[in-house]
Amino acid sequence: MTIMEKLTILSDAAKYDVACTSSGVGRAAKAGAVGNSMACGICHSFSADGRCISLLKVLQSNACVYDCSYCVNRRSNDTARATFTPRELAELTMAFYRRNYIEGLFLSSGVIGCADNTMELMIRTLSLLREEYRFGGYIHAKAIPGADERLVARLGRLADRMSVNLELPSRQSLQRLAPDKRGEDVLRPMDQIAQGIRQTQNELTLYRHTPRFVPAGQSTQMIVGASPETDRQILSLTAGLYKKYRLKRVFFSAYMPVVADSRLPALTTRPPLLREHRLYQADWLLRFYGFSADEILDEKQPNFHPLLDPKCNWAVNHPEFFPVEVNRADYEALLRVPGVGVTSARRILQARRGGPLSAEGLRRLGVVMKRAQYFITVGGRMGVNASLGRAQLIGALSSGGGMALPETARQLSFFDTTEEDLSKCLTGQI
Amino acid sequence: MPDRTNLIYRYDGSFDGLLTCVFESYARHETPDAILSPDEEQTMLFEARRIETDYVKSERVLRGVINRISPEAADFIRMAHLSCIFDRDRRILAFLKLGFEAGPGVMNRLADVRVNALMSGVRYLEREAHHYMGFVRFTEIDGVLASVIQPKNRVLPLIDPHFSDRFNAERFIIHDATHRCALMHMPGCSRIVAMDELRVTASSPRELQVQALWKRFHETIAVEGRLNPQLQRNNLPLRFRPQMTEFQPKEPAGKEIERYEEGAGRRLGAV
Repeated sequence: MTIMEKLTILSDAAKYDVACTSSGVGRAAKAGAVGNSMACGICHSFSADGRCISLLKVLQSNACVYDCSYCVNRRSNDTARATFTPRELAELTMAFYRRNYIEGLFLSSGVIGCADNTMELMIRTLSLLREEYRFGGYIHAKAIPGADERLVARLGRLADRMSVNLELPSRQSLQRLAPDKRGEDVLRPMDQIAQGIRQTQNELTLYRHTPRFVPAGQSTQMIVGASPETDRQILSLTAGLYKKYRLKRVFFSAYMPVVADSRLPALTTRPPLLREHRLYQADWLLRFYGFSADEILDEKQPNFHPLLDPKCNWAVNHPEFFPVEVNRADYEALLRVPGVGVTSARRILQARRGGPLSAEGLRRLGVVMKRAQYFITVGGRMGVNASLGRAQLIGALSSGGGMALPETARQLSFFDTTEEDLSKCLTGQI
Repeated sequence: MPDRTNLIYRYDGSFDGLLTCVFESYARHETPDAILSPDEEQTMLFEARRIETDYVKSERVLRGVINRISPEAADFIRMAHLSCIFDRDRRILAFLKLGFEAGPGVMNRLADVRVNALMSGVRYLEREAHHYMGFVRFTEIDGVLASVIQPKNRVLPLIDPHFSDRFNAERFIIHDATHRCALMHMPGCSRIVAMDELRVTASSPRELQVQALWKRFHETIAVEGRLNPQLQRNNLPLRFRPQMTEFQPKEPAGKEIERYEEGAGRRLGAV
């Protein structure tokens, strides 16, 4: 089999993995060696689906012994199989990296033989890269659930980031859809990696030259829409993962039907992209905006609003918090205003040291006044549309709208929603 | 006495030249309506004054900026001068006039249009430089890595440290076709030189093979169910694509490459 054929099969098999970033670690190149790493991450290209290509995302092998129902590489699926030798993959990575096609390697694998065997093959690839080719670029490696602890530890010294896929947002769903994987097998390496990272950080405060373990941190991903969990369950799980395992990122992957199975949504199901989008918006609120999961969704509203982003949704439901005076409010309060982001909030703090801000000045700082106008005062003055009722506000803020409507008028729109539509929208069958 | 206007300055386009213009503007009590470098067309009918670069004067202005405004302001105008915003040099002069009145606090006045316009110019420059850290594509020719880019801003000084660190042991060249200059790197030294043209074509079978592999990867990695050319265009505007390997038409010699690969066995060969 040629390299071209292998690359085609093994990148095709890896493409459903979404956790492809190159951020989290800044490292200068060693003299005479190839490669460094930028903490902010670099996108090298964008594929036809609009997603960033940063790393060479491939599987070591797709000859998997497991039979997970949602996975394109499941044992019972009739598809072409291939395996890279460590040397082939290391050479391919170097050839791409030198030409500035990629930021590094994203290595995952189907389970070939057993978990330990697979990890050993991956470790051989990474050792070749790091030791023989003196590769200093970014490496993201998957820990294979069920592998020996010593192998996980060895992989963690070679990689910048590691991840263990949670796959599904609850243990019951995992049991139903991936009978070969056990919840403990996923959580054990995750816990081990978290402890390893913590330990290195402690050692770094004592000794300057301690070998780094997973310096760019740990991430995970789960499939959304293949199982019945609510958005609220997924979001609380996410918040819990950040807290307990100190993950850098949790990624969500809208379920893309690739194989027919009675346990799964029908093959004709459209991927729930809106739901995935809302989860990422909420994830940002958790990580950068000081929101807690309970503030974003609760028992009364266990799923995201199809028309309002989670931040607008919170603002509409908490009129008592507003208006916020931009010339006085602290950073945390500014962050709660729809239309104000992390960057513009920081700029507001800096700019008002030079004098009071005007509405025009706010616009120049990057505040989206279309949304912010309903929630702020500028030097004590409200915007012209500031006294809208709740329904009008929702109309004005919803993704389609922008125009404020009188309260009695019914908003005509493509997305005129009934409860039924709402649930359809959330499962992606628009 | 109000400053004289209805006047245009022309200078050689260098940073020291611009600082000399600032010096002259103060010395002659005149505020030009435009400051033009050689590559800019004059659209106004006002009288043009040619300003000769004078390193004594420019040094005095630079020291003034550092001492009376702040060292950050000096770095800031140096960056702003690399950007491509409309009316750039006159805006830099306006910023400095404000700065000499207001002192170091001027860097906080983000909402003031005189500061804000330059800030967004610098942000645009930095964003484009960051893009090019990813979008530069090298072609290997006899052991040298060569690349052509067509940026709107002068990004070479910004991407130089990144590439010179990453590929420190390589010899490479990045040609800026817009501003007709090139970043040349050899182990231990790198510099930016004037260069009108650089033609880069892959010729060796191995180079063609690696390019074909990359194109295949780029094609395969997209998920069909999520095709979204609009999003792709937002993230990677069309203007970058002519220089990017994966957006070049597929080699008509594709078949030959695969045959070459068969012949060479499974090995990619030395990279």
